[in-house]
Amino acid sequence: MSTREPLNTWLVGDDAPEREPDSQAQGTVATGTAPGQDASGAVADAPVEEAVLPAAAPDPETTPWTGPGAWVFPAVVLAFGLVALWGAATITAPDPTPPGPGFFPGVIGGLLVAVAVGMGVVNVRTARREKQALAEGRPGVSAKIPATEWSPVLIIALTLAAHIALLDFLGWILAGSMLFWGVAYAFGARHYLRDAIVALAMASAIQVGFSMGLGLTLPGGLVELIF
Amino acid sequence: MKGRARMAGPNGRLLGAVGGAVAVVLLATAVVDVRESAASGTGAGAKVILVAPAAPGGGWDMLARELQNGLRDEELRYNVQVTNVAGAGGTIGLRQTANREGQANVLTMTGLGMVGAVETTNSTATMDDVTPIAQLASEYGVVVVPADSPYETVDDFVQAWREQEETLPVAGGSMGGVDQIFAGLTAAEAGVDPGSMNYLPYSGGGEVLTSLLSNTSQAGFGTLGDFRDQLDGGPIRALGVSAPERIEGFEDIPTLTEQGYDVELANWRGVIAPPGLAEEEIDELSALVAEIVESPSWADTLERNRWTDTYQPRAEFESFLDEEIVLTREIVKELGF
Amino acid sequence: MESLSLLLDGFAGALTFENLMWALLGVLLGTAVGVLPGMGSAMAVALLLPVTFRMDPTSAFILFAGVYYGGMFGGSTTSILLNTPGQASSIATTYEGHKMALNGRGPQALGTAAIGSFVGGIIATFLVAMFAPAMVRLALQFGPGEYFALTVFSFVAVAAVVSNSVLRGISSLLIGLAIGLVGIDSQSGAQRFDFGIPNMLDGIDIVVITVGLLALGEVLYVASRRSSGPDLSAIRSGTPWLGRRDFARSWKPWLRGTAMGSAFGPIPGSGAEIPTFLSLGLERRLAKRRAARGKGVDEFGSGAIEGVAGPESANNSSAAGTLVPLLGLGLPTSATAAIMLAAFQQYGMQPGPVLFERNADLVWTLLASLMIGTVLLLVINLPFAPLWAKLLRLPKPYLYAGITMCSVLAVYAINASVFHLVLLLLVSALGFAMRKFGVPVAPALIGVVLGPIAETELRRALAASSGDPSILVGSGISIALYTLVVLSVVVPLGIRIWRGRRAVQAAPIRTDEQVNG
Repeated sequence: MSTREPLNTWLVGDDAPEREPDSQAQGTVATGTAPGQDASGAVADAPVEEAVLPAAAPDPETTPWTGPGAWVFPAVVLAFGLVALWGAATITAPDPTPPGPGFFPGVIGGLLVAVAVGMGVVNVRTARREKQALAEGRPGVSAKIPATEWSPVLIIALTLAAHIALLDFLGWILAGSMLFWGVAYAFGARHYLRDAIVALAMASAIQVGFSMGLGLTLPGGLVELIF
Repeated sequence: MKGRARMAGPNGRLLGAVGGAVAVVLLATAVVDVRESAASGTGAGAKVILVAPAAPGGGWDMLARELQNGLRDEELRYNVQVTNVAGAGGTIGLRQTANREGQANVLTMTGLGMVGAVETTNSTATMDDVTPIAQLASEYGVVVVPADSPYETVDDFVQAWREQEETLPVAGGSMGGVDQIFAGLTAAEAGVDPGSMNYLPYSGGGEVLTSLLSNTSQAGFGTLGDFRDQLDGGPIRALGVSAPERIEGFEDIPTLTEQGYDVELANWRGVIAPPGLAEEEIDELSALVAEIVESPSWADTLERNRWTDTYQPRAEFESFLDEEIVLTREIVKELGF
Repeated sequence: MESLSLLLDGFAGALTFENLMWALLGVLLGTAVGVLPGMGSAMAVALLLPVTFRMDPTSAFILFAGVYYGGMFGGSTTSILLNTPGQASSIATTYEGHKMALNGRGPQALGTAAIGSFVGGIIATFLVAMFAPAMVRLALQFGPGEYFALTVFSFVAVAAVVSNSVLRGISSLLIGLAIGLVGIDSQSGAQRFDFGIPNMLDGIDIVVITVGLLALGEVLYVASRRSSGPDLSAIRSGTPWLGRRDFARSWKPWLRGTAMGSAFGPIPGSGAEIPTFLSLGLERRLAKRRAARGKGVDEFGSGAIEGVAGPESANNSSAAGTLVPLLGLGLPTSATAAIMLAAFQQYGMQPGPVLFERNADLVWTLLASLMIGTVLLLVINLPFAPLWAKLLRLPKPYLYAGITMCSVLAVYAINASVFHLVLLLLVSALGFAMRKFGVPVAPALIGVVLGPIAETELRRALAASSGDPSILVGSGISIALYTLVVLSVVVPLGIRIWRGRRAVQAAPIRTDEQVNG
């Protein structure tokens, strides 16, 4: 990016690949995540300029989508758009003043569909370039989205689902402990008994803090019946 | 506590033991708490759950907290808990109350707003699904204009309203709420089609006030409580109140009726209980409410919130409720829902 | 100055040992409630209300003041450390704050937040004390037309936190806007996208969105990269205090944030979130300009302290600003303010134009209480910042399990309903997908928060004018705001395109996929 722009360009944002290697922790960062954040580098008050960083991980926000997975997010966006458009067409209001309740859904839905199409176009172009590069014997798109380990994600999702389904029946103490234990397990905790004790303690602490301390009811569930 | 069992180093065993002990203490306390919360004692120790079908800060929440305070002050019940179940004009709370079949220790706040919301949100839970207990207090509606408005009386305003039936902006609370019902009734009485009036909904009385003061709307509909602090020499004037007679403390505001518009509307609030209760259980709840209403702390509550005492015991409340439902259904239809 | 001596009288009334204890209690409770996601300060104040019926007014005010500011501040702690803003006004702090924490600069982020809150709170409270009537007059200039202009301006200002990829950033913003459409349409009463579920009629609660997209989405994403993801426990926190350089970089953002919050906080209905976003956008712009001039580094995107200092001071000064309509008009602009209004009334205080004449002693005591609360907040929280930051050094499984548990609890606390938890699961899945595919989450949150305000105000303006669009540019305020919008978007965009062309001709460095992603 030009370093002499008088005003910055809000809408366009800056392109990470061109960012000046200015500070610690460069080469991050997608909003809200810390992909590629290396734990060793980027220590707080280390002399900034000397912090030796391993090759910066690619910015996931500018990593192109490849393969069949490339179509997942455009499909999500398209789905949102279609639902919004469907709503725009079907919402009725008693007395619609000029822009009625369907106006904004229509605009947003239309834009969503347009963005989905745009993403599709980019996908097609990326795929074409990739093919061309392979044909010419060059490496294709250099950065790829890191592979996903599905098993911990599924364990967490299932634990959450089970927690939600059983919350009223088991009560907070038991369901909450189960949630804590399950997530800890997904993250690799293997001291089963210790984990369970910590989980029970945490759930109990929340029960005490919220219910006893603040008067917010948490479901008692089985515990109510047993004791 | 999370960190207690963290390290398995040389001190691991000791730490583990301490952590375990802490865990046991916490667990025991928590179980005791669960037991407490579930406890259904007897007499003054019996637990009462007050459901406010709105978020903290609204009229129902206030009513619930005042009742809680009253029950404790008068030493009628010690274990009183307020639960906020906000959503969809109170119908989420209504639905939840209807689902608590047979629970004799629940009182849910209700009011005209809920009756209206049942109609406008096409709620599947209705007032027929619950047990009415009592009506407690009311606030009357008031029509206000900015202090520099050309309208001096309701007649002035109505004349302008008739001329600009579809364009004259009037402000009030959310769509389908008490304020819109009030505006609709007034419009109908003034010869303006309630369905085509230009009603600007706001999320509360405070915002209606800003709407008036920023000249966005020409008149505001709300309850006296929303505007009372701004009336006395303040930035707005009241044209009329929807009470049967002039309100104590606001004697200089004429009623709508005396100005020739037959609009009498009270934003009443009351309490309902879950369905499926035995007759003696209903009697007990009614007696409890009756006791509060007669207490000095309740008088204080009415005074503090400037609510008008319109207490109706169960039988009276039931027939009143039926009338209100019919009336509301009519006006909601005219408003175009 | 007369006001000043009255304020000193207020201090004299408020500064007793008993009152300080109440302030302490309020600050602790407020911070605790702010830290627990989902428990807003409205809830805390509502719980306290019955207690205060038996207290004398001064003590009650002090207690409330502590809870109010404490809650505002407490929200920043979870935003920074756990990426979980408990309320909309803490969202802006999250972006840079959490990145600072990941870089081991958690204590500094918390420190600058604490001092920023203090600076914002003190200055804004002081401004309220001195200029409330004038501020009320200004705030009343804002009709729906001006309001809509302000939201457009905010959208443009916060586009700074949009992403490196235009297409993905916009898709995220649009998804946020779409989620914001759910629920009863406030202007017509029509039911939109409720899919026949009564619980959806009031829309999807902001807590579900923030907790799902930010906290749980992150938990799932980190889990999916178990072997390659960041290990928070390995982060070494450096010095636990704000260094001289941090101070040097923070003090201007504190003041600028305070100015934003004090200017926009008093406008009824705007809430605290608009100034925080504006401040974040401003700081980012300024950092870029500084970097361009070679006078500093632009750390935005990787944990810039300015991005925490600005929004946090804006947040607290805007919280003080909401007192302007409350005291000057008797107009509560937030749920917390509504409950506080009820509390004032029980002491015979009559908020409104004549308040400063009729109940002068109470008002000055209240303002003094607010300042005392702010000071205590700083005194209590600054030393704890390094301690809090250690939270991140818990073993990873327990840390993330704890985050998950708190997230679920936060959402359950909204309405004690399991339905919201189901929604949370869906939103978390969306948050996970967005992270996995490198789609930024920040724009979605902005869309959810600002979208409904923009729609309501636009349609309200057009309804008030019976469809005449000239109301949108009907005042100096809106024209000025739109001029700023044009200057800040169109001009740089034009320059960029022009430069881009020249750059492409000279040396094509940029490839399509980097621009369009």
